[in-house]
Amino acid sequence: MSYVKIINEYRRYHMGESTIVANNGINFEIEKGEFAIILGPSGAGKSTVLNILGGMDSPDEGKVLVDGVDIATYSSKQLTKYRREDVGFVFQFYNLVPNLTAKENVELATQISPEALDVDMVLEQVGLSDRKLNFPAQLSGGEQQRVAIARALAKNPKLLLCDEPTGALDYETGKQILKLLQDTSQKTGTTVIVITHNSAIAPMADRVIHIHNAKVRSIEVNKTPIPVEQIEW
Amino acid sequence: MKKKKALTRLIFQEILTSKARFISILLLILIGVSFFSGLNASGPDMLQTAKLYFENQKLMDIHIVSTMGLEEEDIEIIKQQEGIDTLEVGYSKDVITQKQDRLLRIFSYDAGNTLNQFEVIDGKLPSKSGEIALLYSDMMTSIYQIGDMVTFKPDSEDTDLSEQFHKTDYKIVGFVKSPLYISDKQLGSGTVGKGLLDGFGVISNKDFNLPVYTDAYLTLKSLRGLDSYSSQYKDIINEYEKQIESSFETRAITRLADIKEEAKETLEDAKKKVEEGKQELLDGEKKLTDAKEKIEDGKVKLADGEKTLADAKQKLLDGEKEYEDNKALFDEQIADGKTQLDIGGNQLASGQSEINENRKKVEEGRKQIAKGLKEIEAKETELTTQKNQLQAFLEQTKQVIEVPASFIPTDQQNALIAAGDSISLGNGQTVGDLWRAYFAGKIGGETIVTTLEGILSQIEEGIKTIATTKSELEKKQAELASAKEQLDKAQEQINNGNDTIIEKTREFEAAKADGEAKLAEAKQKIEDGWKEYEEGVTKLEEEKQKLLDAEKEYEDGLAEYQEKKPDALQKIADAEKEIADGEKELNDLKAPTYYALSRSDNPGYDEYADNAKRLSALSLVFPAFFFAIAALVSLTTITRMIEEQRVQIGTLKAQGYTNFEISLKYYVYALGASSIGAILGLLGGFYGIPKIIVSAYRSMYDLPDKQFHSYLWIALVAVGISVLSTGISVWVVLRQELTGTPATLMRPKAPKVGKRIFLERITPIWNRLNFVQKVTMRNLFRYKQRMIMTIFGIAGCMGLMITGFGIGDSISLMSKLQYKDIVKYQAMVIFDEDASSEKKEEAKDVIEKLEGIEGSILIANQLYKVKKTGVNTQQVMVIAPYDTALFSSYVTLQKRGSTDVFDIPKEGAVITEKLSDLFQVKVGDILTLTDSDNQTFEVPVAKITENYAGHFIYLSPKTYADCLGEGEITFNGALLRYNQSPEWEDQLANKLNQYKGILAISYNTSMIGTFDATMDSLNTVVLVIVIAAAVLAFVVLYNLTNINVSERIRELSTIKVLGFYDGEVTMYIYRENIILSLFGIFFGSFLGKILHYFVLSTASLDNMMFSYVLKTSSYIYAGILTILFSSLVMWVMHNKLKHVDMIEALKSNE
Repeated sequence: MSYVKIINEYRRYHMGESTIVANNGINFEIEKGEFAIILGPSGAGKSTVLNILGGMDSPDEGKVLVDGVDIATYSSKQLTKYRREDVGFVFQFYNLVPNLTAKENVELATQISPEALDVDMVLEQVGLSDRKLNFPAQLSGGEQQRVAIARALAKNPKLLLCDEPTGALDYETGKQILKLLQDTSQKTGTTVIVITHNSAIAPMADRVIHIHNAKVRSIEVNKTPIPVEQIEW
Repeated sequence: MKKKKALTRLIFQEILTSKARFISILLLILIGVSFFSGLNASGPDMLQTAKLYFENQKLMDIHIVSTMGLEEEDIEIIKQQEGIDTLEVGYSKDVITQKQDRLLRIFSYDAGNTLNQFEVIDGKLPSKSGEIALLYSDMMTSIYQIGDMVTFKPDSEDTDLSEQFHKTDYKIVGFVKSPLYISDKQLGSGTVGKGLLDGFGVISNKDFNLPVYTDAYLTLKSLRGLDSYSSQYKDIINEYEKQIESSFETRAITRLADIKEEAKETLEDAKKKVEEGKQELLDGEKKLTDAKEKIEDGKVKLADGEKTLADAKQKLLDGEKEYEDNKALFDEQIADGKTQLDIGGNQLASGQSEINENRKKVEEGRKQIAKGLKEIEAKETELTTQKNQLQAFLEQTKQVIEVPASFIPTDQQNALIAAGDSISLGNGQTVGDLWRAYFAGKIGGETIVTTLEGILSQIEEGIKTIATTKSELEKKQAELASAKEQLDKAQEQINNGNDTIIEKTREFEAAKADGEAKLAEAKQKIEDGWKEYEEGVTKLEEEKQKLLDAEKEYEDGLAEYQEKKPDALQKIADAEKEIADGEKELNDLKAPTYYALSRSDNPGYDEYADNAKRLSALSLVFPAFFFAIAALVSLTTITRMIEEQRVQIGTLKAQGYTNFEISLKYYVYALGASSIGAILGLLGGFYGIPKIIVSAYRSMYDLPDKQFHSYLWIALVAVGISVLSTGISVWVVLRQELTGTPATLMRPKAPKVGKRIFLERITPIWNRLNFVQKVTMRNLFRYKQRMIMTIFGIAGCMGLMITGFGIGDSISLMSKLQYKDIVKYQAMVIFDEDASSEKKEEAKDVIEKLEGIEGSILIANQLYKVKKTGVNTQQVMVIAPYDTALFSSYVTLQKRGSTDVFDIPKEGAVITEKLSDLFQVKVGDILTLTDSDNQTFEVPVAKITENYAGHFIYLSPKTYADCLGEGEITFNGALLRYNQSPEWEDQLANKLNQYKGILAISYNTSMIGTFDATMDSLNTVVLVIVIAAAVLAFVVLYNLTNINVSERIRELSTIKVLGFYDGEVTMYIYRENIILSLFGIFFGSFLGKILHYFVLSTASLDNMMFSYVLKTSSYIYAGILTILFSSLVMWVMHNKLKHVDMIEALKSNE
């Protein structure tokens, strides 16, 4: 059984009288330890999938099985607990707390996580040992995103979810971040799911899920992912 | 045009989408403005209400009374005053009702009069004789109803109601109010009974039966339309009062002279009559006493006679007794004498016979002795013969025997034998036998010799014996001779005795005769005495009868006299008392005093203004503070709003909108919210809050036609501040934003850079904090402005609430402090200084012997004024107790805040705190007092004592005498201490009012009552303040928290995504609020203390001081309320945060 399995998942948003169907019967599976990419154009519904996977949103229909448990049936409180213990999130705009240093931002996550990793170790892992006492404003975008990744990783999550993690970064930095994510997946065996509209990076993933118009168009399983350094776009 | 339409839409959309913010600004301004305008308007509203009421009811400006009423001449004098608008006269008198002993002041009603119009609440005013309208008050309506009868009763036996009224029973026809009494609870003091008025009544002026008018009321042209609480009005009135009083100066003297003259004549007549009556009575009495004296004399004489008789009788009886005694004694003596004589005779006789007998015996003895002697002599002779014979025989024998027997002749023999035979040997033998034997040779001769010798010795013996017997007999013979001699002597004695007896007997006989004669004489005398006595008794009886007759006559006279005397005496005494009273009264009669009273002299009139002014004082501090907070918070809110919309501003700018067009939205928004808030606030402030506050005073002052006005200046100030504060904040913030280029504006404002805070450098503390605490601390200092604003806001609200509660504390404590802790006496009695000294003594005596009290102390007390330019002239009560050591039981003297109680020092004055503050007089300074005659006195200040109501100066008797009394001190009052009910007090007042020496008694209970009632009203104001402050606290906290949340919504979403539970999310931000709230509470406590002091010192009137005590509970209540509101805001925020769409917040990069 797959580590992540989404079965017939629907998500509809009601805007006044009209209804927007964001996810229209999504089905896919991701194995444990995979580096997966969900690919699709803006507004395809990929973020909705990620939000539902991340416990920030609940589907209207269908099942979302993570490690065999259907989180679609979770209450708001259970979802919070799920986010707290099982999920790490990385955002496009990092969303660091500006008033906290890099280390403190990571600690913000470890404070509440039961199986948290050592903060300094994680920061070293993302290559920020010497910047950990700096405030976000004193860090570059890449560094900030590293802090965000460290914050997500430090919780030792079952899933690391990344929503356009390179969207606000320049090419090089974006690459480095992707590499960090890929390495993390490979080294720690964390299941990493990245959302992007950039199809160029698809080859680096173990599994690529194409979403279009609220539906999964195709799923490619890549037996030999290419290291990100070799990808150009 | 199209653009504009879009812009207009944008504005309204903005308001619609941020309703909460719009409303919160509106609300803040509303609360601030309503509170500001409300408290400011309340005072003027109260004064306006009063003014209108006085105008409508045509309340007099000046009320003239005199101690002797007003005669026509007096009215004439008043009429001559200048500037009189209306002048009306009337009657008033205080009476006691039959029912429940209520003290009413009865006014005359004349339908034609226009001044002091009664306001009819129920029923009507009296239209004919025998009708009465009563004060409409809870007390009156609870006792009486329309249609009931009111009966007046005299307050004492001396009072004759018919001299005052034609009737004493009146039918109630209505209930009314009078502008003279602004409060139906505070009616001032009356002149009879218990002292304090319970109400008033109005009867037709025809029902009054007084020789003179009692009241004159007038209004002045110059005062028409003036606010009677204004200083202008007061100045004119004061001037006029003086003028009127001075115009009566000469009138008073002539009136007194007239009265005295008239009274004197009547008195003289009465005196004469009394003297006559007295003389008559005296004459009668004299006659009676004379008679009585005579009777008494007779009685004495009679008694003397009786006594003499009794003495005589006694003497007679004594004489009789003596006679009897003497006689008995005499008889006894006679008997005795006779017996003795008899005994003597007998003795003599028996002596004679004894002598005779003895003589016989002696004779016989002599005879016997003579016979014995003869016999003895014979025997002697015989024996001597025998002896001689025997001796011769013996010689013969001896010679015979010498010769042998045989040789002896026979004859000789025979002779011998014969001779021998005559000598017997006793045994039948004889010597002859011996001789025979001898001759016979039978016996030797010796035998015969021996035998003869033996016989011879016997004879010799016999001779001897006879000699003895003879001498004995001779002795006896001598004895007998002496016995005879003795007998002869005895005989002689007897013979003598016989002579004596004879003599004695003769003497006895003579004495007897003598005694008998004497006795007879005595008896005669006694008998004469008895006779005389009997005669005396008869005479005495006659005298007695005479006396009894006289006495009877006297008794009859006396009875008649006594029967008539009490009547006569009573008549005389009455007449005398009347005369004495009249004289005394006449002597005591002072020139009538004329008083011109103003509205200020009406009970409750000034207090009403005081209350209104106190409100104004409160309205100065509180709302300003309140308003400041409201304005600041709305400023913060607007600032935040504009900052939030940077991008939008930039976009608009980029699209070519002018700065004005862009600003318009914000101005419309801010000014819209603030002006709507201000207008609503003004409505509430002018018509809502004053109603609450004024209604709080309704229990004291229930005036009709309450005036709730809008006051332009208040409105302008309120709207001005609110509109300016919001408008300026828009202008300031926008100016900053609009100077930027569209590009910079559209770019998100760099988030506030995280910074290390100062606390981090203090590693020992910082390291001890846990992660969450560190984050909180960082955040706190990150938004300094908001931090300060929050602390300031909460501190302000906290301070306001503390002040509110604190005013409540001070108010509730005041009457306890003043009338329990400081003033410990319950009543003050004032003696009438004009009363005669004996009345004064009587009064003092009554006070000293009063039952039911715990103690009393005599005091000298006097009212003085203290003046100083720039300070209102103050009335000061000067008290000097008789005994300063005991005074501490009546008034506690101590410095405020200290518990060291001190006594009045010997030198120098103890003055009350407010007096010291007001006139800036310190210990060691000299205080100048002015008396009613404008004389000034200087008193050195020795100590300052705690006191809250009124001004007092406490002096030792010595200081009093030295500084105020020209060396003397008169104790003209007393303080009483007791623990009794108000009913008891009423009775006491009734009792004390009977004494002429007692002028008045005032109770602290009534003061406490008035005090508490006023203070209760103030409590409502306090409640309004507390509630408003509480609401403000809530709005402030809500707004600031709201801003905080909106500013940090991304951060909150982030931690939400990170898996913070809802509670943790709320606490993440609210932890800061809690700390800020605690800081706010902390600083607010100090602020509250200061504000409390400030408000109270502003609100305190000239003659009172608030206690600045703030109870811990007030801090606690305010703190709890602040925390409560903080929690409420937290709960609201919690719900809001729960529903924050974290995805939305995280997507954008704003």
